[in-house]
Amino acid sequence: MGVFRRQLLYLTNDQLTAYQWEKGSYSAGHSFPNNETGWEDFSLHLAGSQNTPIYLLADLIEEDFQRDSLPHVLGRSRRALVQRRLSQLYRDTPYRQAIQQGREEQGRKDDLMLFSALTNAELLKPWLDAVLQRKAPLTGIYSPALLSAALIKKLGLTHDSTRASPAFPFGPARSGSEPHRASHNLLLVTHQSSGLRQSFFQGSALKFSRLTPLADHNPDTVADAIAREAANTQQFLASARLLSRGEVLDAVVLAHGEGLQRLRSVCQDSPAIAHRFFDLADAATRLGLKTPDSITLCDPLFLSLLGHVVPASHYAQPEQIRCFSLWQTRLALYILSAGIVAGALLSAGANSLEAVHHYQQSRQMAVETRLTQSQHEAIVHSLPHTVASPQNMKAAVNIEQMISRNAPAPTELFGIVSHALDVLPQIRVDQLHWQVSKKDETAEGAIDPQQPQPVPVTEDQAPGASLIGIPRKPSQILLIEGEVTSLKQDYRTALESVRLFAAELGKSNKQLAAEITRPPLDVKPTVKLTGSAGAEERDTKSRFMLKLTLRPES
Amino acid sequence: MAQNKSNPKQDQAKDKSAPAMRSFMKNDFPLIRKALITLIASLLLSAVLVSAGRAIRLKQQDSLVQAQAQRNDASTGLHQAENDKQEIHDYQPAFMALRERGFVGEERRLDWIEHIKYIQENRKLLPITYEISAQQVFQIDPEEFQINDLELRGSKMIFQMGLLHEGDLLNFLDDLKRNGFYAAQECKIKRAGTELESAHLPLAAECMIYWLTLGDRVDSPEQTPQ
Repeated sequence: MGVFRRQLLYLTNDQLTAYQWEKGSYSAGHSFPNNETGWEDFSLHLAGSQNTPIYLLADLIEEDFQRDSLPHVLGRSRRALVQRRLSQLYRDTPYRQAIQQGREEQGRKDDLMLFSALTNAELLKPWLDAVLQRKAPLTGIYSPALLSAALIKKLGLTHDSTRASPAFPFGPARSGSEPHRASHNLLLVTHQSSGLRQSFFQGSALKFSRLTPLADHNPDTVADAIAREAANTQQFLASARLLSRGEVLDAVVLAHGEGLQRLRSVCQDSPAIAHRFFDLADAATRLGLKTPDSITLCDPLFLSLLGHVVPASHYAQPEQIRCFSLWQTRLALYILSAGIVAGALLSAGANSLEAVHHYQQSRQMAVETRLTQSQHEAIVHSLPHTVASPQNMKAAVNIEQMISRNAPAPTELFGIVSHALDVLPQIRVDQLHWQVSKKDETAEGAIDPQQPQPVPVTEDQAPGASLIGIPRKPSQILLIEGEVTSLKQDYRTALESVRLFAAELGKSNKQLAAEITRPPLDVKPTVKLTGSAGAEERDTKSRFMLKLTLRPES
Repeated sequence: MAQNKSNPKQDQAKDKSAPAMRSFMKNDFPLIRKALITLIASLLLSAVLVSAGRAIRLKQQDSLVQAQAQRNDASTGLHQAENDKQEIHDYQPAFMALRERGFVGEERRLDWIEHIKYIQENRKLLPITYEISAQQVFQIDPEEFQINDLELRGSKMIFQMGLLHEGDLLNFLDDLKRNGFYAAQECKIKRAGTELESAHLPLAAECMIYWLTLGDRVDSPEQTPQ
């Protein structure tokens, strides 16, 4: 499929010339005469051209231009209005079109329209029949006159572009006219294989164009024809009120270098018309043609406009360019297919690469696994026989060490009491009750001092390991019951002795808390106090109770 | 009637002059049929390519995961074996000593009571009475201490003894450690009388301890503490 190839058809009244356009250059033209033989040859030529877009450039004498104004309406009403006017103007041909060229400045500000048509439809019919029969993708039917608007823009001849870019490759003006001057009234004179075309522009808007056939393409003949036809056209434009009185027509002639000298001598400037000459080679260079010096006619300039860009079709009917739409659809489908396959290949490639990477990693890991397993077997074979698993041995040793370190015993608290009794001989201990606390001793959670808490283990209940120091030492409680001896109702001394005893116990270990739970005499204002004075009270004793709490170091 | 006769002729003429009705399937579709077939084939081919690539990648990915798991298992096994070797080296002597001393293995109640009798006689202590309860299993929180697949067992023993001095109790408890492992829980010492002169009377002691042994875990629901 020739995505980048185009077939350019140049149709004149006498013949059709086919060019192959590819990558900015065109092949030698293949001409077909306008007769049955030519039509058949052309049909054969189109065989196999279903994949090459075709651009038909109709450079015909029978192209008519009409200027008119239409009320400024939009949308469907505008289309209907334009179609109605086209039907009125060009009843016998389907190849017609309209261009809006601004609006009137006065009155209703109607739209200024240019209507044009290829009036001899029969001239196109055999060629288009061949194209449609071959189902070749016809892009459109184009007119050199309408393309001239694009041509003068590219050549910098328009009024607007002249102001923007004043440098032009004009040849020297014959009568001292300013070469770079832009004109509002421009007559573009081009010499093509079909003859001499004169296109009149006001600003950049085409107003009129006509093709004059030439007897031959001799430079002298062409020069004379240009001089004559330009003068005739100036008179026509003046009579058609396209040129106001006193306005100068700026005739720009695109000519081959050899004919320029002849043209300068033939084309005489007058108050009504001024001639300027544009070398075809320079124009071809500006349009990007690859061999500008070999160009002698303007045909390639118009063809290049079709080769480089795709302008909207001027005259083609929708059913005539249907194959082009299908060609575009086909192209889109092929591109989509290629994209999908490319994406799938990329995906498959990425997956394959990843799979190969995974495979290599798996192989590497298998090698590492075998090596590790062999090392493992070697170590296992070297292990000595044991009565228990290493983990059990470790656990047994650890738990024994923990028990040895944390297991509670009364020895420490008994020793502390013994030492304090040595310091305070007036204290006599009657009962020691040591026990492991069932819970962590805290300031908030002190146990009832009056009643020692039994170890919370029943016969059936499994004891908690915290009682034996796993994982940390438990708190220990020692309840001391005793009395202060050698005192006879000296409660003050007794109270002081017990306080000193508690202080002596407490200072031996900072983790040890001593609390007098029952003093020798309860002097709190909230309790009842009974006693007697003077009588010998044999039963009166200064009995007390202390609670020692040894908390484990945190 | 004349008009009726002429109408078919006019209609036929119109039919001939009128362009044939375009049909998309007849006129247009053939032009894009190959492209459509190509697109469908491309889609199928792409689906096969993507699926096959994905399947191969997933298969190799699974193989890789499996190989990683095998390598990790082997690595863990090797690490475990090295640990075992080191732990055997580090702990086996101490463990064997614990077995010898009766901490690991079955209870040796006979040894314990013989040892109590020996201490009483050796220390010339006042008579000692004791009562050993049925063995129980200690509850150990596995989050606080890992005991592996062992269990710590304890047999509660309550004993009473008279004391000439509180040191007798401490000596007894100290001697008891030589032939077993235990943890004391409660001890009460009180004088035989409360009078002043009772300071010279013997003391009475009552203690509760746990004899401790370590054995393999028995997965019996009756004996496993909840």
